[in-house]
Order: sequence, then structure tokens, then C-alpha cells
Amino acid sequence: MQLTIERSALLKSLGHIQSVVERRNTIPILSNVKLDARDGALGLNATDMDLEIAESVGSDIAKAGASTAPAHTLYDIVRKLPDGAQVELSLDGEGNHLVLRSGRSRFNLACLPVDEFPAMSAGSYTHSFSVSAADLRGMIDRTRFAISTEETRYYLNGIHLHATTSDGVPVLRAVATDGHRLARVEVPLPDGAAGMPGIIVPRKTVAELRKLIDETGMDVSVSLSDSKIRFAFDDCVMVSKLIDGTFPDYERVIPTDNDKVLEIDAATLGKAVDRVSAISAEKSRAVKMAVEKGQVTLSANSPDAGSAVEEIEASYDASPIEIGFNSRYLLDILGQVEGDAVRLVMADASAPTVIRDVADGSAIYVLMPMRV
Amino acid sequence: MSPDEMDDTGAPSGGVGGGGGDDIRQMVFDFPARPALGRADFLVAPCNATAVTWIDRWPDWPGAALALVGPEGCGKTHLAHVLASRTGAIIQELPDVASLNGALTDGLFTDAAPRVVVVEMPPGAPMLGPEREETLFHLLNVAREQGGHVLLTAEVPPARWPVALRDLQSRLTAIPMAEITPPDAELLEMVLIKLFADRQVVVSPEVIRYLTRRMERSFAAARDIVARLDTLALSRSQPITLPLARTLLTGNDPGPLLS
Amino acid sequence: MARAPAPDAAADAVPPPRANPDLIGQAAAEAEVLRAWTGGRMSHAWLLTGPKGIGKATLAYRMARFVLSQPAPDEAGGTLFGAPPPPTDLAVPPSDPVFHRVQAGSHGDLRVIEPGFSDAKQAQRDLEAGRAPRRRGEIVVDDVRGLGQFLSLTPAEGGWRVVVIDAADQMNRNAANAVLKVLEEPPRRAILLLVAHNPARLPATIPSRCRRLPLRPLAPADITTLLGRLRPDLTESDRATLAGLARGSIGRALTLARTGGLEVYGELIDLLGQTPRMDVARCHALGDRVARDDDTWALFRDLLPGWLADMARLGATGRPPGDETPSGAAMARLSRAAPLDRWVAVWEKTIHLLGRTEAVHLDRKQAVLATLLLIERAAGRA
Repeated sequence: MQLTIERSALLKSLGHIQSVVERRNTIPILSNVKLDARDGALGLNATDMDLEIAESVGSDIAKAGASTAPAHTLYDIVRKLPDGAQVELSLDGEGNHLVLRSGRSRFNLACLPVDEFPAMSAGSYTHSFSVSAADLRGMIDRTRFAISTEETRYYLNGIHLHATTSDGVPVLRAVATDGHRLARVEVPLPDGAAGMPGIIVPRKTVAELRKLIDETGMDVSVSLSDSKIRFAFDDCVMVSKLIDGTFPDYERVIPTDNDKVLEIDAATLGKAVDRVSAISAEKSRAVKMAVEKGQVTLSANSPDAGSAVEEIEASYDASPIEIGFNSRYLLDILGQVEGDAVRLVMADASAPTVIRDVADGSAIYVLMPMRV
Repeated sequence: MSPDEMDDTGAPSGGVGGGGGDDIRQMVFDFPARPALGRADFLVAPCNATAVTWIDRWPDWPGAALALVGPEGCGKTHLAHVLASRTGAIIQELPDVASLNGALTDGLFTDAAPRVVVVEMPPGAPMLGPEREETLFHLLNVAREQGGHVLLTAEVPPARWPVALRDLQSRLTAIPMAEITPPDAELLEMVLIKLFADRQVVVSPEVIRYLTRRMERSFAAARDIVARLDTLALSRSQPITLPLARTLLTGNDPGPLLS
Repeated sequence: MARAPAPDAAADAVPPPRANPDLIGQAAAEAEVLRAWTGGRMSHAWLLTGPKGIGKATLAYRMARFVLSQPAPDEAGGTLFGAPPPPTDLAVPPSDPVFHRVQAGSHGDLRVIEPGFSDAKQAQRDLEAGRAPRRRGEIVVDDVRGLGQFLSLTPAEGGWRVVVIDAADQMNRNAANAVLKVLEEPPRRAILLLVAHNPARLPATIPSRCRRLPLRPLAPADITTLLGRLRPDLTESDRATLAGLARGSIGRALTLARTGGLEVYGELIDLLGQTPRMDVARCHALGDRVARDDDTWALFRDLLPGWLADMARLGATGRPPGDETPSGAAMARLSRAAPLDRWVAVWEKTIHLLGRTEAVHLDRKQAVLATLLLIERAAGRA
């Protein structure tokens, strides 16, 4: 292996992939990045055995070859090289060391054999489709807050992705829930996604993917089977295991016959909830909403801190209702609302409430009340 | 053992309140459990071995009809599904007059149609009423004439059903019965594990032992306690641990969780 | 096979179980596993039992590599070219990529549960320097922690996930409970392989959830073959002696060879051959040697009572010593030097003395001298 590469290009790719490498590893090869030089490009590959990120960077390959070297060390070195530098990578005689030369610097890094490197990319996919990066970001952003962080509920530790129909229209749907709230976002079903298995994408994969697609304007090509998912865009490929569980029958908890409809300015409500919840007990963060014709009264009580009340104008015509919510959950959902108004559709103080962005029909949020 | 009839109650869709000693509680979604109803999922134990044997031996039955009798949650529905997946049997809750008559007209029990019908009775001694009694009687007769089979599942032996129709009464009295008795401690532990697994949660053996030592030894109690503990854990965003089980069973028992 | 990580173990050139492609003398167990697999009755949990050093962990990794090389259960059937032929062997060649990754610990579908490092920081330094870090004596709940997460994710490479627990009888109570959770409701497409030297130490519920796979001690011929392969530096007679002392365990034979067991044994036999007049200086030298380190002490504690028992048995059966070795000659002589009941008493006292020395940390050298003295007296009174 021998190649020359732009420092900035190498740094950018290493930056993308090194975040998946754990700082401490009892298995030496897992600290390494795989380097594979061929066909005018350097392939870089890192994994934690659940998730793999690979990038390809154009470079001047003098001699094809592959090896593995410590990811964080390599990243550190490249980061500290001067901007605009050229980096030359090669292997020493026995292939035991990666030699990095740049300007007057020279580094020798211990290598491990490339055949010890985990192989996640093997295997086949049953479905492939492509989705715009913007749509994918939208699906992730508006659902990930609801992913459960309780580790033993592993089947809730991710975003459920599946193909279905919504009012007769085929859609690709993302759903997340922690049992207290639920977020459901859909986009028109991309070609090739029909009949795909319902899968659960793990939280860590969601987070890494979101970082990687933050800037791309391209379409993301998605391939999946019932045990793996692959995202490809720009020069980057990410492959991940899935959660081996069954996502709950969430449709059954989305009420369709709630009849108490409240419409209110989202920003105003958000700020008021934020203020009032300052007084509510740290652990529960409960706020009470008393809703009556044209008005919502928010209140919170804490045996230690005192009490708070705030009134907000709202559009409401149904019979009065009092209902409690976890303020943090309410703020999480209000934070997803991009339009001016938010609509809360309620039944009673112990039944799920449906929340929608009035300007956005693609997302629906469901929130369980608190007893207050 | 199966969470018999666990999930057959229309649309719960509402929420379930949390438990514990907090005076303010986060309510949780009432996600339905998905009972595994395969043959391999059925836990065979001395208390149900006879019943399992008869189900496995179909069509080698002592008569045209067989009664599967046992307490709530003991696995009657599970065994019915095991039989159905092997034989294509129709499963009915109560004798549904219209559909049974229709099926009989269409030639039920012939080679082209299912040769087994399962009729599941509601809890307690079933009150059938004249029309259903008539249909059931007819069903038993046709099965006998045409070499088909009927499996009746109930909590009370058919001989003790309050039936008005004399001929049906004597027919029911003659039906051989496979009985499932309440679980022993070991089976109860396995039932708890299965019920938690149906909810995709895995709990430690300590929790299982703690629960079996303190709960009523019945299938119904097992189902109830698993549902309550799961809900409490979900409400508090906590794993199901020994302290949580203790909270549920002692001190601040939150009582019925359905609001 | 033998645990590698003792610091000087590298000298043996014995590959650790995860890297060992050779398994000798366990054909019956292998055949049982293969039958279960091809018959579609593969148990989700196997308990591999038998004495230390006979190949349990080696078989566990062999099974792991085999399972990890098999296609997913639902893919195994009809391809375009029909179903693949059923496997006839558990072996996966060392050139196979699966072999490399299992050896490196980097197979995405394999988790190994073993005692963690006793000192995490030191372990990191050791690993960076290519040394094997010291491990704790037991498996604690921290070592099991990743298991639930591992099994809650789909397989990365193919059809199956495999967990190797080496050794299950090293698990403390909390760790065993955590594993039991998995055993009681195992996920589909997952196989757990539990290695146990002493299954009686496991909570009873664990064996009851596993299919037992007993491994037998190796035949002396197998040990000699393995020693020839792993320790070509030893002479043929040394290998034969080790095979005789190994009690069916190649691990034990290798430990004996590594810790100077042959010399200690030779010296002991020499001294016994001198009865009723042992060289006092050499007795002291042997005592010093035995007292110096734990390995040699354990060796002596094990060797001497075993030898005495064999010798007493020889006297009891009255058979002529078929054995031309110095040990055989010494046995023949001593067994005639005193009546059987006296030797039985010596054997009992020896066991008691050595056991007590171990239990309450008495002076080891004194124990060696005392036992030799016992033997000398018994022989001398003839």
C-alpha cells in the first residue's frame, strides 16, 4: 500500500468515522480503522461491531493494498498536521507498521492484519430505495426525542421504520415511543420500499446517521433486510445491525375519536409551559392545563417551591377539561412544531391526547397525561 | 402456558396509569401483549399433560367431541390455536349461530372443509340461550355423523352447564373431558417468564421467585401481576427489578391500575 | 485446551482455545453436536463439561466457528442450486475469515464471557504492549453486562449469534442470574455455549436449561500425540511420563512440562527409590523447591498422594510391576516393604497433612519433609 492524500480530505473522513470507534477496547482490532487503497481512492472503515461507517476519499494510489491502524491516534496526528499538507501513507517492509509522512514529519503506527477486521457489509438486502436527505432528517428529528432510553425495553430503543398506507396513500413511516409519548412521521413511500419488513433502527445508529447526513443535499440510498440496514450517500456508507424485537402495535394507542379540540399558538404555549414548570416538582415536572372556552390556564404546584399560574388565549369550544402533562414531554413535542399553531385533541384526563402541527400533516404526536 | 384470551378485548386504546407511591403519576400507553401461541411455546407440565396429549393425538380422540376444561389463563386458547394451526380448525367464541349454520350448510366436516371446530366458552358456566343450544346440539350431531370433531373449551365442565335443552344436556354430560388444574410452583415460574417474554421484557430469576412466593397460585393471578408490574416499570421508565416488584406487592400497592 | 495467558505460556506455542484449530479425542461430542445440527434439533444452550484441560473451550470455539459459518436458518433451504449439502464436520479451516475474526475477538456475532481484567488500566497497558493481562478469578456481573444488548440486536454477518461462557462455573451469583435470564427465554437464532469444569458449582437451574455435552479425559496416546505437536522439544520418554501423569488432560500435561513438573517428579521418584534411607540434603532441596511457588506446590500436593495410592494398589493386587520405569521399580520395592494397611494409613496421613497445610497456610517445606519422613519410617519398619 502506498498513496498520497490531501490532509484536509483525510481529516474530514477520519472525523466522520472515528466517532464510532470506542475509546477503550479490550479487543485491539476494534480500536483500528481499516485502510483500503485501490482504484484511485482510499477506503476508510471503522466499526463497534454493531455499526460500521465507511468512507471513500479520492487519493493518488501508487500501490494498492490494505491494513488497519489505530483510529484515534491516526486522527490525532492528521488533525495536528498543518493545513494544506500532503500526507503519504505506506506500509513498512513486513507490513507491521503504517508509515505516515508529511513534510518533515514521519510516524510509524503499529498495524493489525486486515483479516481480523470485523465484516459487517457481508450479506444481502431484500429492499432498496432512495429518500432525500431532507426527508430523512425530518423523519429522524421529529421522532428521535420519543425513543425510550430504558435499556431493558430494547424493542423501544430505536425508530420503527415500515411501509404502510395512510388514508389510502402508501407511506414510509417512522415511529418512536417510550410508552409515555409517541411520535409518528411519514413521507410518501419511495419506489422499492413497498413490502419492506418493519424494522427498528437502534438509537446509536440514528444518532450517527443524523450527524453524517447533516450537510448532504443528496438523496440517501437505503438498503435493508430484516437483520441489517445500509445507508449510502456522497462517499459514505453506513451499515448497522437492527433491534431484534417487535415494535408494539402502536396504531392501537392513537385515538381516533377524541373530540375536545384545542388550537393555540405553539410558541406562546411553549414559553408559558416553560415558565410555569419552573415551579413544579423536579422529578415529575407536571403542569396542569385547565381548558375552557377561549382560554387555557396553566398551573403547577410544588410543596417546596410554591405555585404558578398563567393564562393563555386559545381557540376552544368543547366542554371544559382539566388535564396534566409532563412539561418536558410537552416542550419536546412543541419543539417539533414549525408552524404557528398547534392542535391538541383530547378526550379526558386519563386518555391519550393527540398533538399536531396545524401546518404539517405528516407528523402526529400522542401524549399520555399525568395524574395531577 | 398461554395468556389465554389475553388480547381479545376489542380496542383498549386508552392508557393505563402508573403505580407506586407517587401522588403524581405518568400514565402509559396500553400496548397489547403479543402472546406466542405456537406448540413450542406451550409449557407442558403435569397439570396440563393430559390435555396436551389429547390435542397432539387428534384425530385419535375418544369421540366426536372433547372438552378442554381449566381455570382462566391456563392455556385453553393456546391449545386451541395449536390444534387450529395443525388442522385448520375454525375457532369460535361462543357458538355463533349464523356462521355455524352457514358452515354446516356449506358442508363443514367434509374433506374440503375444516374437520375440527373449536368453540370457546366465556368465563364461568356459559349461559347459552335456546338458539345457541340448538346450534351447538346440531353441531355435535353433524360432527358425529360426518366424522368431524368439536373441541369445547370452558372453565366449567360441560356436564355442569345450565342447559335447558334436554338432549344437549345428556350429550354434554357424555363428552370426555381433558382437565387442566391450577399450576404448581415450577409451572407458575415458567408461566411468569412466558408472560414477560410476550411483553418482550426479560426479568431476573430473583424477581420470578419473589413473585411466585407471594402471589396466588393461579394462571389468572400470573397474568394480572405481569401486566401490573410491566405497566409500573414503563410508567417509571425503570427496569423490572426486585425493588420494583416489592413496591408493587407491599407497602404502596397502587391497587387497580386501569383508570 | 490449555489456558494460555500465564506469562511464560507463549513458550509452549500452545494456541489459546479461540485460535486452536485442532481438537483431538472428542469425536463423540463433536458427532453429537453435528447430529443435533443436521437433524434440526440444535439446542440453544449447551453445557460442555469435563475436567480441566481436555478441550472443552477448544470445542466451544470450534462449535462457535461452525455455527457462525452456517447460513441463516431460513436461507439454508432452496437456493437456485438446491439446498447446500449438510455439513459433515465441525471444522472451519484456519484460513477461513470466520476463523480469523473469532481468533481476534472481532466477530460481530460472537460474544465471549470470561473473567474480566483485574486492573483495567494495567490491562490497557498490557494489551498495547501485546501482553495478556491478568484476569480476575471469577466472572462478575460487569463481565456479563453487554450480553443483553448483544442479543437484542440482529446478527451482523449471517444467521446466528453465539455466546461462549468460559467458564460458567466461575460466574458469581449475580452473573449467573443475568445469564439465567437469557437461558430461560433465549432469543431465536442464538446459541449459548457454557464451559464448566465443575458443573456442580452452578446454580441447579442453569444445567436444567442446557443440553449437557460431557467431554471425556483424553487417552494417553492422544496426549502423547498432542505433546509431540505442541512440545517437540521434549524427549519421547518425557512425553510418555507426562502422558502418564496427565490423567487425560493435555492442559495438565502442559502445565507439568512448563512448571518443571518433570524434574520435581523425577526427584521425588529418585528419593522414594532410596527408601528406607533418603538423602537428607536432597529432601531439603526438594522441600525448598516445592515451597517456592504455588504451581510446584500444587503439583506436589497432587503427585504424591496419587503415587502412594497407585503403589498401595500394586501391593494389594500383588501383580508384578509391569513397569520398567524408575517409578515402577520404586513402587514395587516399597509395596513389598510394608503391609497394605500401613501404606493406606500413610496415604491417609499424607492427604490430611498436605490438605491442612494448604487450608491453614502451614509451612510447605515442613509438610514435604514430614510426608517423606512418614514414608521412610513406614518402609524402614518392615
